[in-house]
Amino acid sequence: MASLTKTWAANGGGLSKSYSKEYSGTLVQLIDGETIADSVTDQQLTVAIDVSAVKGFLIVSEGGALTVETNNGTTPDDTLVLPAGRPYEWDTDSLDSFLLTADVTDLFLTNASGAAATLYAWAVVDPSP
Amino acid sequence: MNEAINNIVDKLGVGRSVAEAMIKRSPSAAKIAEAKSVEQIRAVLPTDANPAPPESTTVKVSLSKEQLKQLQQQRGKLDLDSGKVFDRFAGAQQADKLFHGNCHLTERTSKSPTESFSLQSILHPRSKAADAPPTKRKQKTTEDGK
Repeated sequence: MASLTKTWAANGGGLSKSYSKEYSGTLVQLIDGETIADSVTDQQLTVAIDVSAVKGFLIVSEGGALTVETNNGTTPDDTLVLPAGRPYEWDTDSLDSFLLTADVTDLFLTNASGAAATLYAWAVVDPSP
Repeated sequence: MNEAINNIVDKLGVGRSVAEAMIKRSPSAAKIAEAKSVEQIRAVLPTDANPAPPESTTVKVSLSKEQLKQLQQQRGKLDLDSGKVFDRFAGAQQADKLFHGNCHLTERTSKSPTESFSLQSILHPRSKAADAPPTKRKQKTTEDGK
């Protein structure tokens, strides 16, 4: 089994709390620090995500905002606009629906932030029904 | 800033107005203020061998991805509209799917490129309809060919 542990923390007004939950599957797929230089449009990155099998997902761009498009840079299936340092995350307990709606074979990455960006992602998947 | 000016006046023996002018040309006032020797000050101040970076200006723009792609290919080229060199675009995509941000343009220097482009023609491309040759109007014919 493979797992992805997510932790959430909030600290404000004198109140501090943190929460954690582990999501399990057969495999954790990673994007482990893909560098996207500044002023790059549609840098292609091959991945394989079976959206219906995803149990937990987190993607974050460090250093600069990034536009992440799936499967096609011109007519993408889905688009994630990631601010620098602010993850997008989803899991089977999320109250909203997953922004990735179609299986992903390639990501097209556009960096117009003015700085180099580094992309990290985790997807824990369990294809078994 | 004042510390840097005082440091220049003390160590280089120039007047206050000259020191102020030197600081204006150097972005590193903090380093000058901390400099312990004349050599350290001279290393920071712009000289012919160590010129000050060219001043940059920014232009707020909103671009489609196709326009962004075109613009990113013009880095380091001379913008014919402003007479400045296009350095980079810095911004991010927003909910309207456009990339909003600033175009950074720098003054021309002796090392400026010879290649040029027009920022305005990327931002405001002429419509294809305007470029298309006028279509010939078909003459109306009646059923018997008259």
